[in-house]
Amino acid sequence: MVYEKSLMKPLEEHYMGQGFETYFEVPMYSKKIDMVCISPDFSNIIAVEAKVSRWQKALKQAMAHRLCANKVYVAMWHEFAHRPNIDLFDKFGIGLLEVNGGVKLIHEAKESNKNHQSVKQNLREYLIKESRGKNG
Amino acid sequence: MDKSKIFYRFGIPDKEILKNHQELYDGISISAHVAKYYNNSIVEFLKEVEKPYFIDPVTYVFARDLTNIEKNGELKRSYKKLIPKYGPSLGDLLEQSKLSPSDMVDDFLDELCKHVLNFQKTFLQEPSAMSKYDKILGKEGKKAREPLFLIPPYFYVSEKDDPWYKISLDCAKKCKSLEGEQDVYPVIFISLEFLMDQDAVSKLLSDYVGFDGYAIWIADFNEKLAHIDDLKLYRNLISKLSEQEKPIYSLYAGFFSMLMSKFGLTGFSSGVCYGEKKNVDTLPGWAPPIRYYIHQLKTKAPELSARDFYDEFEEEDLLCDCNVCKKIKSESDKSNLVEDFFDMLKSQPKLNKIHFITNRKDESNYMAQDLNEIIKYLDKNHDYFFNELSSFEYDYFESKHLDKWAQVLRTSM
Repeated sequence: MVYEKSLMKPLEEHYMGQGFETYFEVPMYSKKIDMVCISPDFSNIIAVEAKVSRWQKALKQAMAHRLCANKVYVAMWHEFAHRPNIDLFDKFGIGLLEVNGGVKLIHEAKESNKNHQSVKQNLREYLIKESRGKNG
Repeated sequence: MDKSKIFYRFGIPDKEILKNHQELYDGISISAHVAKYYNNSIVEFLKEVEKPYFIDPVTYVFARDLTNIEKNGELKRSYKKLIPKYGPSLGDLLEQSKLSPSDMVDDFLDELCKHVLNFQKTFLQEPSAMSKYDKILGKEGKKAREPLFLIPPYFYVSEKDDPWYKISLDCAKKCKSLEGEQDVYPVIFISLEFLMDQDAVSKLLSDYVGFDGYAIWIADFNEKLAHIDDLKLYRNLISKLSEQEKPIYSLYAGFFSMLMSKFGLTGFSSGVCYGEKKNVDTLPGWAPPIRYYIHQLKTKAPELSARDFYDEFEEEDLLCDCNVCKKIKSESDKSNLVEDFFDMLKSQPKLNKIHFITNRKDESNYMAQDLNEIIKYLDKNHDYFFNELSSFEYDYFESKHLDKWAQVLRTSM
C-alpha cells in the first residue's frame, strides 16, 4: 500500500538536486503545506501538495498556496497521475508531478500572480528561521 | 414573532466588542463555570452592559467523562470553583467518579436543584472587587438584575430509553415547583438519533408542557452539513414546541436557527464568530481560529481560503458592504483591493468579529421579510455561487446548504 509519505523522499531528492532547501509540513496560517522548497537566496518558493490519488482534494488544498509561493504543484503517485483534469490545473496555474521512485513533470505550473506580500513574507520568515535552526 | 433574538455567549476575549457594540445584539449567555471563574469581571460587565442574560448551569458535564473538564489530571479551576456552589453532595460524588443515574436520588436532586437555581438568581449579588466603587458611581442600593430566565440542572439524552431523560425532566419539574418568582426554562439536550425517533420526540413534547419557556440543544448539530431530513426534523420540533406559545431559545446555533424564527424560535446563542454547534464531549483547550464571515453563504472561512477565493474571482462586489468592510475598502489604494482588505482586517484582529456581529444583526432584521422573500434570497445566493461563479468548488465557499435551507422553508408552506 502506498502512503503520502512515500512520495516525500523522491520529491525531496528531486528538489534538493536542483539546489533547493526542502521543508515538510510547513504551517501557513491555519493550514499546512506538505512540502516547501526554497532557493538558497530565499527568492524562489515552490509549494507542493502531495496526494496518492485524490487529486481534487490536492488541487483544492494547493489553491491557497498560490498566495505565498512562486509556483505550486500537486504531486501524485504514478498509478493515479493520469486521472486529474489538466484543464482545471491549467486554469488555476497549478502544476502536476508524477512520483514513482523519481519525479516526472506532467504539467508545468505558471508563475503565480496571486502572491499576497504579507502572506509570502510570513512564510519566508518561517523558512529563514527554520533554515537557521537547520544549519546551526 | 419573526425577528430572531441574538444572544452571544460571553468570552473574555470578546468582552470589549460586546461592551462597545451593544446595538448589534439582544442578550448574553454565560456558562456557569465561566461565570464563577471570572466572577468579578462578568459581574462588572453585566452591570455596564444592561442586556438580558441567562446562565447555563452546564450540569451535563458532571455526567460525562471527567477528563473533558480536567487539565493536567485535575479538574479545571473553573469547575473546582463552581462545584461547591451546587451543594455539598456534588463534590463528594465527583471525587469517586462522574455522576451516574443511580446517584440521582431524591435528596440529591432536591439539593442540586435548589443550589443550581440559587447560583443563577444570586450571581449578580455576589461580592465584587469593584463594588466599593458602586457608591461613587451612584449604583449602590440598586437591585441586582435577575437573569432573563433560570435553567434547571440538565443532562444529555442519547436515546429514548436513556435514564437521563427522566432525570432531566424530574429536575425541570422540581425547579418549576421550587421557583415562585422567575421563569424556568428547561434545556432539552438530545442527540440527533433521539430527534430522528418520532416516538421519542412525541413523548418529549407531551412531557415538556407547562414550563415558562424552553431551551434546546441538539448535540453536534451542524446546520450547514446536516441532511435535509434532519433539518426538517429540527424545524418540526421547534414548530411543535411553539404550539405552547412560550419562548424557545437554541443554545448553540447559527443562521439556519435564525430562519427558525419563522416557526416559533425566539432566539439563539452562539459565540462571537464561533460556537454555532457543540458536541456533548468537547475536548478542553480548544481556541476558535480566526475566520472571515461570508455573508452571502452564512459561513466562515479561514483567512487564507478567503484571500484565495476573493482574489481568484476578482469580484470586489462580493466583498461585504457592512460598515466595517466598507471603511476598510475605502482606505485601500485599490491596486490590489483583496490583498489590502485582508491585510487591514488582519492588522486589527477584532475587526473580523465586529464584521460578523454587524452582519448577524442585519440578518436578524431581514427576518422581518416574509418567507417567500427569504427563500428567494437563499436561492439567489446559491445559484450565483453554484452556477455562475465556478465549476470547481472551493472549500468553505460551497452553497449547497443554502439550497437545502430554502427547501426546508419551502416544504413548510
